[in-house]
Amino acid sequence: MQIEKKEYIINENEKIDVLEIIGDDAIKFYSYNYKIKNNGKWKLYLRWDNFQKQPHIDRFDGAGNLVESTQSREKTLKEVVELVNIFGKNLVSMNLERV
Amino acid sequence: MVPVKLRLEKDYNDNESESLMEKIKEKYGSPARLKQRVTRGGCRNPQMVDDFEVYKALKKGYSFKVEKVLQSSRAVSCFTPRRVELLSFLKDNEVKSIKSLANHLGRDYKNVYDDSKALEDAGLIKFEKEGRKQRPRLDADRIVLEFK
Repeated sequence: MQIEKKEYIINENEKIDVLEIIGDDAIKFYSYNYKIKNNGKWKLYLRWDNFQKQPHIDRFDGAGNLVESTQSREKTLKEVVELVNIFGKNLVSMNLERV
Repeated sequence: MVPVKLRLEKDYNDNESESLMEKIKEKYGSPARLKQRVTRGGCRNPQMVDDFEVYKALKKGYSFKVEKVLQSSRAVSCFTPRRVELLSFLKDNEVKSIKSLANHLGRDYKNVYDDSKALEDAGLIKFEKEGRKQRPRLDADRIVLEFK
């Protein structure tokens, strides 16, 4: 039974802040927060989480405001890291159903 | 360069976990208030949701582990024997300033300053400001090199 909080640095301007709560060898809760550094500050743009057992993706405007939200299947950190490595900052403007 | 990842890992002890719970309580007034704010009407505040889940798990006795993962090869390329020695010292010791660190290591201030800044740029150590002094700190129990 473990809480894992990770700061996954992709490069100096992109990172994923991760929270995973693991019990009985399964991830009970996750949140993967894709952030971009603007003017020296990390801003949240995309968030995958399964709060209340409802996996979804949220898009934010970089100022803390929720812009769009859609349901998704459960994601893993590995998948999210791959997406960020492939699409980088283009992820921010992509159709949420594709990410 | 061979693709590698560096992991800086830190396990919280019981006191640190309790202190984290206290901080969350203070932030929201009480756990009941946090629960009310999060569960009422589809909360979309990311930090609040994460704090709520962390608090719930800590309350159930889950252990807490913090990791920093560095995907950039720059983090690995900054290692030199002297910088490894510096990291190893910071793992087990707290210092008040770069000058104090240089004294402990028996090295020249300027070289220790340059090494500390290179390690900070690579994301391996942090500086805490105390007045005019900068206190270098390694916030990890382990540094793990992982081949991708």
